[in-house]
Amino acid sequence: MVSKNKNPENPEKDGVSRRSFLQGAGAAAAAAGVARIPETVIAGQNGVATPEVLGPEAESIQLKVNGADKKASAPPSTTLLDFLRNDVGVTGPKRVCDRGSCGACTVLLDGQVVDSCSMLAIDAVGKEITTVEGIGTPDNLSRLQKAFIEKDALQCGFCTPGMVVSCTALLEENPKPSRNQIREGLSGNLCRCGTYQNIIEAVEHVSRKGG
Amino acid sequence: MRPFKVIRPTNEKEAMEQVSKGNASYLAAGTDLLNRIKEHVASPDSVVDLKSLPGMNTIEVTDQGIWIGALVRLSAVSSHTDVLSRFPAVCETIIHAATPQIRNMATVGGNLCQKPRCWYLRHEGYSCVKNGGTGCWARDGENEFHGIFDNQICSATQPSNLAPVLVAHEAVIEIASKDGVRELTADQFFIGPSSDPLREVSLEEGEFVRRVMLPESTRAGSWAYEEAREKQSFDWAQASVTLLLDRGGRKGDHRVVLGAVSPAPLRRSDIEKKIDGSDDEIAEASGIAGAGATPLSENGYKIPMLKGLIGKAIRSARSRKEG
Amino acid sequence: MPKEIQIKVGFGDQFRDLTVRIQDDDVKPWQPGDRLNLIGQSTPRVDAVAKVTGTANYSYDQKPKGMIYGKILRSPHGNADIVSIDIDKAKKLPGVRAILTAPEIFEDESARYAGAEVAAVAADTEMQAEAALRAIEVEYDIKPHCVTVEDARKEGAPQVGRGEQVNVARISPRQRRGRRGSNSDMDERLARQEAAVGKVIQDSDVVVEGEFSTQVQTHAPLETHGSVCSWEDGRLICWASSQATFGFRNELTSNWGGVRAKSCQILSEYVGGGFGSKFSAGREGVLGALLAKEAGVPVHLMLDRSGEQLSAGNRPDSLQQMKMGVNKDGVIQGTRIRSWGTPGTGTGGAGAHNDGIYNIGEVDKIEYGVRTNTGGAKAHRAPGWPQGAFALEQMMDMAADEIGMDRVEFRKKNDEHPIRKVEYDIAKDRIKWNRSLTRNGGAEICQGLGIASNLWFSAGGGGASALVRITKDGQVEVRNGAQDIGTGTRTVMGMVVAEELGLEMNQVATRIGNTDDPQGPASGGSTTIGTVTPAARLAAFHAKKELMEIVADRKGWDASELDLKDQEVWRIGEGSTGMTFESACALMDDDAIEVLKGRPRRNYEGFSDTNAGVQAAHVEVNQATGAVKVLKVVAVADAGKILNPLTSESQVRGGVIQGVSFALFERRIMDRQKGRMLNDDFENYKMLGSMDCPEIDVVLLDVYNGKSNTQVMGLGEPPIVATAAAVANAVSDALGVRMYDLPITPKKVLEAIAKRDAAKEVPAQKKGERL
Repeated sequence: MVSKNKNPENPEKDGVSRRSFLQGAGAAAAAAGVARIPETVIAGQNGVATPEVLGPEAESIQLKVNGADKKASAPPSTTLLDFLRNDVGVTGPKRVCDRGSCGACTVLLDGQVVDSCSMLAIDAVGKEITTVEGIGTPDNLSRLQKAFIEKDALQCGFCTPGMVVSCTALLEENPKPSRNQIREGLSGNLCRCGTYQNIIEAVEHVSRKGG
Repeated sequence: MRPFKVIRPTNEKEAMEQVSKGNASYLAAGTDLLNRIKEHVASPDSVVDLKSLPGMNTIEVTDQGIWIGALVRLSAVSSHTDVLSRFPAVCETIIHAATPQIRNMATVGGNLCQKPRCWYLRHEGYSCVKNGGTGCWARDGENEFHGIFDNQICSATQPSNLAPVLVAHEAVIEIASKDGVRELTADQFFIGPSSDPLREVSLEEGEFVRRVMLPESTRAGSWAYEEAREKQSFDWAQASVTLLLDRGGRKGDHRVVLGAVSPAPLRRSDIEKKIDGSDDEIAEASGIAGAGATPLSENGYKIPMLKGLIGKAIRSARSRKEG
Repeated sequence: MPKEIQIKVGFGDQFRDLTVRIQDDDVKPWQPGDRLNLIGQSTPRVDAVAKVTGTANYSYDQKPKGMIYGKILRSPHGNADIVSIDIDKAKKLPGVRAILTAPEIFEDESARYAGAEVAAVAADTEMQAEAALRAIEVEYDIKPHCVTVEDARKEGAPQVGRGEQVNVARISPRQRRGRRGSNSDMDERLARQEAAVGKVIQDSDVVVEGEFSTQVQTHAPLETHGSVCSWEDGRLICWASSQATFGFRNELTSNWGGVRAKSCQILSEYVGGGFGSKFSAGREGVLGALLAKEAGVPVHLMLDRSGEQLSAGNRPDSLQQMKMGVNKDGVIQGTRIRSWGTPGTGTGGAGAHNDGIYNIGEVDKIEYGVRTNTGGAKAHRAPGWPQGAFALEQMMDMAADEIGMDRVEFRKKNDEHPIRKVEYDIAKDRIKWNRSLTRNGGAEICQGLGIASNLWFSAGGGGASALVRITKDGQVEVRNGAQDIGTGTRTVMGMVVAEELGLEMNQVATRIGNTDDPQGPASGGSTTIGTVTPAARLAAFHAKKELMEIVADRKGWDASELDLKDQEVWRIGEGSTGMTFESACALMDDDAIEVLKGRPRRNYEGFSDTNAGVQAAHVEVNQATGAVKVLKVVAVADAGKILNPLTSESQVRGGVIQGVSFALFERRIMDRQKGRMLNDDFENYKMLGSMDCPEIDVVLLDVYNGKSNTQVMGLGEPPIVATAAAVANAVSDALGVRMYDLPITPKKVLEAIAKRDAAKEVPAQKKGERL
C-alpha cells in the first residue's frame, strides 16, 4: 500500500488547517521584508475604540524580569518561557514538558507561581516576573538556596530552578508549612532524579529557622 | 508553536465579531488552548483575548448567591473566604485540580470550556466523531481512562473538576450571546455527544461564559468530594463523587453527581434516594453505582471504584455533619 | 611491576587481613582508623551553587553567536518505508537554512515505528523551523504493524523487520555461530536441560509458578537528548547532553551519517539526567552536527518532549514465566524460566535478570527478544534488573508462603552474600518486620510489608586518567573529561584530591565534561566514581610526592618522611612542620606541577566483587479506590567505601523513587490501531511526584572493599533493583492476593480484589496459579 500523505502528521484530516497555516506562513514571509515599526505592547488598553491586533509577525515586547526591563522582538504567539529563554537570554527556567505538567519552567508572576510555558509572553507585560535568577545569586544566595545545597536537594539540577521558585513562593505564603503542605506546594514540579525528600528537608530547615 | 494573531477586543460585541471572523478561538489564560495549538489539534489564525474585557475578573457576594467572573483564576476561587465558607465543596474540587501553577493561571471560564483529555482527541491524526470525523478510537483502543456511562457515540469524559460540583449546586452559567446575556443551569450547560458530539458545553458560535453563580438556595447542610486517581501529584480523576446533603436546609434534598465517568457530569437521583439516613444507606447507595453503565474493554474497574467512592463520600459527609 | 601490600578488608565487625598485589605506582587504599578529613564526611556538591541559582548552563541553555534552531520530523506511522520526501516548499519558507532527510543521511528508507526520524530542519527561529517541518511532504509506503509483544508473537503477525528478520528470536542462550550443525546441538542441549531441570522441580517438595509482566518505562530525563553544534575551522564544538562524552565524540569523528569531524570537542559540564539513555550521540546528534555544517552557523537541536518519549530510549517490557521447586527445608532445588521482552525493532537487550541474587538451584532459562514497531530500548538504570527482581521476588514470597517459612528466613537460606546477610536484619529492624498490621484485605484500608534484594557489580575499571595541577601560587585543579549526570562524580573527584593533598574542598577546583581533558568513562554500570576517583587520587598522590621532593630538596628534609595534612607540610608520625601548603608551593621553580595518571586497568582482589543491598517497603492499600500508597521504604545499601554520604544517600533515594514510580505509575501506552504511543508527554506518562513520595530511610554500610585505592563501588543502579519488587510484595501482603503485573494501578488492584473475593466464594477452587 502506498499512501500519498502530504501532511505527514495528519493523514486523515482534510487540508484546512495546513492550508491556513501556509497562508499564515506566507503572510509572515511577506512581512519579513517590510520594516514594521515595533510597538511596545501594553496590556489592557481599555477605552480604545477598535480592538488591538497583534501579530502574527514579531512585535516588540518588553517585560520586567527580576527587576530589570527586558525587551525583544517576538511573535505574540510566543510563550513566556520561550521569550525568556530564546529572546532575552534568561535560561534559568527550563523547557522540559512544554505543556504545564512538570513545573521546570516555573516563575513568579506578581509573586504567584505559574508555568511560563503555558502562557503568552504578552500576557506578562506590566507584571513582575521573577525567575530563579531573581531569587538569589551565587554571591548572594537566599536562605532556601543555601538549604538546598546543604540538604543536597538537587542531583542533575534540571528541575532545580523550578523547585527553588516554587519553594520560595510556598514559604512566602506560609512560613511554617506542614510536611503535607510542602508536598502539596510541590505537586506541580516533577523531579526525575528523586530529590523530593531532600527538597522537603530543605524547606523545613528554612521554616524551622524562621522564614 | 505556530504564529497567530492576538486580538484584544474592548467590549463583548467586538469579541463576538472578531471570533466569528475566519479561523479564530477565544483565549483566556491559554493553559488548555496553547497545549492544543502546540499539539496541532487546534490551529487558529487568531485568538480573541477575553482578558481584555472588563468586569469578568471579580467575585461578587450577594444574598442570592456568589457570582464568580469567568476570568477569575481557580486559586482565587478556592481561597475566597465567602466561597470557602458557603460553598466549601467548590473549593475542595478546585484544590484537586491540576497543579498549584495551573490553578494560579487557569480561569473558571476556561476550566468549564476545556476540551476533553481523550488522548485520541488530543493526538493529531485521529479523526473521530468529536473533531468532525466518525467513530471513536477509544472504543476499540486504549480506554482505561474513558467513560463508562453514555459512551456509545464518544467515550471521552468531561475533564472539568468544577463541572460536577456546579451541577450539584445548580449553578447558573451566564453566557454572553449575540442577543445579550442568557443563562443556563449547569446541568443544561454541560452536554453529551448525543446533543452535539463536537461540543461539550452549550455555547453557540461566538458565545462565551461571562460568569457563574452559586445559588445560596443550594448551600449544603453537609458535603463530600471524593475522587480516585493514580497519582496524588497532578493527575486526572479516574472517577469522582460529589455529594451534597440537605441543600438549602431542606432535609433530604441531596445531590449525587459523578465525575470522570461520562461525557457530562452525571447526576444520580437513584443514588440520592438511597441516602436516607438508614443503617444500610451506604450499601444501598453504593450498590447501584454501576446501574446503566456500559464499560469498555479496559475500564470496568470504574464501577467498583465508584462504589468505593460513594461509600467514602457518604461516610465523610455524615461525619462532617456530626463533627 | 606490581607490589604486594597488606590491607584490611571488610565492614562492621567482619574485617580480615589480605595481601594484595597492586600497581607499583599506586597508593594504598585507606585503612580503618586512618585519620581522614573529607572522605566519609557529607560534603555538598561543588556545582550546587550554580544549579540552585540557574547559572548552570546546560547544553539546552547554550547560545553561541549566530545560533539557529533545529527540529526533527518524525513518522506518524506504525510501520512504513519512506518512498519520497519533497522539501521544495519547506526550503522556500522564511528563515530556513538547512534541511536534511533521514534516508539520505542514514542510508535507511525504513521508518519502522511511529516516531522514527524522517527529516530535520534548521531555521532562524523555532517557529520557522516548525513551519518548515510541516511543509515537508513525505510519501510513505505504509505496512502493517504490531506494537505489543503479544501481537508480535502471534501466528501470522505482521513482520516488524525487513528482509529475513523474524519477530521472535532466542537471545539467550545464543545460537552458536560458525560450526556446522551447532544449532541443532544447542537445541538438543536445551531439550536435555529442560528435561533435567523439569525433573528436579518435579521431585521437589513444593512447586510454585507464575507468569509476571512488566511494562515499558521511558527514561524521561528532564533535559532531553540533543546538542548545540558549532563548526569552527573544521573543528566541531558540541555542547551535548551526554553521559559518555568520549563516546559521543568518537561517534562524531566516525563515518556515521558522514559527520567525520576531523577534530571534535564535546562539552557537557552540566547534564540534565541520563539514566542510561545518553550513551550515544543518537540520530539527533548526527543531524545536529550536519545541520550546523550545512547552515554554516551553530545549531541548537534538542528534542522536544514527544521526540524524547518516542525515540530516546526506554526500559523494555517483560513477560516472565517462572516455575520453582523448593524443599520443605527452604532450599530451592531448581527453576525454569522463559521470558520475552521487546527492545523495539531489534531483538537484543530485552533480557530480564530473574536468575541472579539468590541461589535458585538448577536453572533452565531461555530468553526471547521480540521485535515490535516501537521506539528502541536503551540501557535503563540497572538494565534488566528491576523487572527480573520483580518476578523473582514474587516467586520467593510465594515459595516461602507455600512451605510456611518466614519470607526473610527463606531468602537467607538461599543467599550467600556476606554483606546482604547483615543487611536483612537491618532492614527487618527498621521496617519493624514483625509488627502487627491489618493484612490480607482484612479492612477497607489495609497495610503490608515486602522485602527484596539488590545485586550489583561495579568497582570501576580502566579507562580513566586524571590531571592534577598544583601551581606555584597554591592553586589546585583536577580534571577529567567525563561527565557528571547528577550523581556527584565531580564533587567526589574533588574530595579525593583534597583529601590526598590535605586541603579543604574549596581549595580544589574541578573540571569535567570536556573531551579536551583526560579520558574518562561513560556513566554506565555505576562505574564512573570507581573509575575516575582512583585515577584522581593517584595523580594527586604523585603531584604531592613531587611537591614534597621540592620541599625536601630546599629544606634538606627527607621527602619520604613528608606528607600534607591540614593545609600544612607534616613529618609523618611527628606532626606539622609549620610550613603551609602555600609556602610549600612557593618553593617551586616552575609555574606548576602537573601530573597525569591513569587508573590501574584491573581491580585488585578485595572483600567482595559485588555490592548487595536489601530494601523493605511498607504500603497502605485502599480497597475502596484501589489506591496504593507507599508509606516507607527502608533501603540498606553498600557500595564499597562511602566517600560522600550526602550524595550517596541521594543516589539511593533516587533509585528508590524511580523504583516506586516504576511499581505504581509509569508505562508507555501504545495504540494498537495506529501503532502510536499515546502518552508521549508528561501529562499522561505518569511519574511519581512529591505527594506520592514515600519516606525513605537509607542505611549505608561502609565497606573497606580493597578493590582500588578509593575502594568505592557504584551506587547509581543497585538501589532501583529491589524497590518495585519490595513494593509489589508489600501490596500482595496487604491484599492477600498476588500482584503479577506492573505497574500496580488502582485498576489492577480493584481487579485483583474482585478476583480474590470471587475465589473466596468458591473455596474449592484450585489455589493461586495463573498458568
